[in-house]
Amino acid sequence: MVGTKMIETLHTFTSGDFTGLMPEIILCAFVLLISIYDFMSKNKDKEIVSYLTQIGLLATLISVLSLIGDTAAGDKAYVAYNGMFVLDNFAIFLKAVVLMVAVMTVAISHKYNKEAGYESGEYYTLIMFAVLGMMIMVSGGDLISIFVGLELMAIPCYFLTGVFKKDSRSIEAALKYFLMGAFSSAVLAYGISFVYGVIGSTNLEAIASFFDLAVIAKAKAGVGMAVTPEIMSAASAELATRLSNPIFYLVLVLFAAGFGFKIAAAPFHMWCPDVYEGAPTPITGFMSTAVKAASFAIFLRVYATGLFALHVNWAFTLGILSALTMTVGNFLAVTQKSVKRMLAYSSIAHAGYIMMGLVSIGIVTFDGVTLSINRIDDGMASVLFYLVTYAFMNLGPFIIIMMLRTKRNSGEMMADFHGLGKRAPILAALMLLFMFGLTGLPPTGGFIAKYYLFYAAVKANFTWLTIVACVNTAVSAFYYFRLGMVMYMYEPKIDEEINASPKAVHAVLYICVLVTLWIGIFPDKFFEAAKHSLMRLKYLL
Amino acid sequence: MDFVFYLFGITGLVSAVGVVAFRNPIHSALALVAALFSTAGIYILLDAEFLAVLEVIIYAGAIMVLFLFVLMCLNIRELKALPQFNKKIRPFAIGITAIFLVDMVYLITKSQFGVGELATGKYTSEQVAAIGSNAKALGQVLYTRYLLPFEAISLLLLVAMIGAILLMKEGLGRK
Repeated sequence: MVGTKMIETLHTFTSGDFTGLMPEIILCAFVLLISIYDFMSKNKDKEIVSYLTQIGLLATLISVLSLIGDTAAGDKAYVAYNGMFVLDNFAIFLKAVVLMVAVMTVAISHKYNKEAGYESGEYYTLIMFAVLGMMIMVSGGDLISIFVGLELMAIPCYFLTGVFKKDSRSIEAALKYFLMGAFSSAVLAYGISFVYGVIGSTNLEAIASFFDLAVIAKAKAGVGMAVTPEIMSAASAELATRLSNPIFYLVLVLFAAGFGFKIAAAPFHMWCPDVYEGAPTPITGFMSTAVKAASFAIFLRVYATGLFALHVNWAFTLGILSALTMTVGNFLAVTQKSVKRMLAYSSIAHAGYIMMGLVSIGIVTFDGVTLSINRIDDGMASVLFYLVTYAFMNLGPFIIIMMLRTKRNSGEMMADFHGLGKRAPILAALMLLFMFGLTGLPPTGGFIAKYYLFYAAVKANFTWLTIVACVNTAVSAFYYFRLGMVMYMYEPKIDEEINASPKAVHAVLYICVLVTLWIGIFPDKFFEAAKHSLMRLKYLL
Repeated sequence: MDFVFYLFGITGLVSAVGVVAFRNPIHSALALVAALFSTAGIYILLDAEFLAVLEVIIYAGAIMVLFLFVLMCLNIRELKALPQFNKKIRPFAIGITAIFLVDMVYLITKSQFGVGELATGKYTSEQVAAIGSNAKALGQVLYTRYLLPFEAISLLLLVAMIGAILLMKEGLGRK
């Protein structure tokens, strides 16, 4: 390169580029090796591939957890690849959750796919790629890397939805998901292009400093000059025009549509019931927990850093979307005959609850001179806390649906649950427990998680939203408990024996139960962990 | 210069509408070629010749040929006879789009662009000309600043390939 003129300085790799990215590198190595192994091996039974995938994901999980110590000491978060990659405790927290859910998903998938006749190694490869995408996404320090990570997460999910390709529901769901997903990604990219057009960068740090009074004043004063009061007031005026730049309304609308699609917020939720119903049940569980957690995390990261300054502009709109989302989800869930579809609507409703935490991350006021940001730390932590709790208590019901599948019955319909208390007392009891959790009743984690969300919303002056959420919780209790009534008060409609499930499925189910109860009874540690990881969020305003 | 920009802009828009509006898929494909050529023209106006060339070679060339190959495998008469599924929601869709369009035009005309400290960046035409060529600058930027997303996109292409193999695989779904 000697003698060549450069427009960018050459990238010199530092140890942070590798240490911080080690989990991704390990996972990437595993996924490539496993796909080659799967291609070479003549074995039609993919059990070994499934085990290898679990080993790969667990190794990645260990390497993620080993990074905790490195970033615990405050500002030592890794920022690598020109700010494209940020490894803070927030990212580690999310990566750990996503990897755990992924391991559980893989562990329960093998027998299910085999019985349906859709055994393939690519299934596991695609799950690992989706996890890799989520890991890049939750560590994104730049809208570009966030966008690429988002696509790397979404595209495997489109394929995984359509994996049961002789089932028309599965194919229809995959096509719908793909078309709408592609469209929403385009909308998001359009929004990002406006951010670049105004700010000149897509970096989250640059967006944050765009609204930073001190940075503006320094730039106005010039290099090495003192900031005089005149310059300060000019900077304030500049900040005021920046905050009221109308283009940000458009950016926020486009972002809300792009991210709102991924978390299935109304009115961008139309794909959700069909996709959740058509996809293989383990994948439905995966999408409604891991994908949702990662998407919400990135929503939080983008809105709590750069766009926090515009809180006044987006909080109310997102609040309305939140109210709409939970109402639509809950009211449509009531009429469903398929339990899987009911859970899809319930997951829409839960997205609405979590958005409530998103709007109550703080109160921002601009008095014409300075921008004062009062963060509500509990509000931010409640989002993360809810995501973890929800991941475990929502995966559980899908596992039970999966276990109820027999030769002639899908296990997805209300009829399959008739008299389940007599047919399989333990499964029925566990299902009831998960329904308690989803309603938000003690002693499950669902109660504590909802409590923190409501508390944060009241603190952030969103009392009206809290009232809407309370009414919605009452509505949701109706259909969750109806399932309980169907299980215990009705006579069984199906006389088929319930198949024995492998030990791994039972183990995963009990892990979900234990974590749901554990979070419910000892929430402090989890909440502190969530809060701690958020306080270390890089570029937090 | 302005005249050329508007020329490309209008042909681009009109042909983009044509892509969705034509009932014959071959006509749609040809309209897409026109739209891609107009985009390439706008790239040239922006001093991004390399992108313009890529747009023509890859999109208008390679990808369109693939499209046409696929279309030749289909029976076009049958396709034309297919009912349009979106007739009922059309007024609603046009209404929403119109409202959004008006909003967007209003907001964009009222807004200020390029106001940040970083907005006068280093990727100006003069800077690019100073280091040599467009392709050189693009390569340098891709392999320095955008290294990580670039690598991630290579994985994305692999995923697309694996997924296509999965969906086309023989023997799946036989009990």
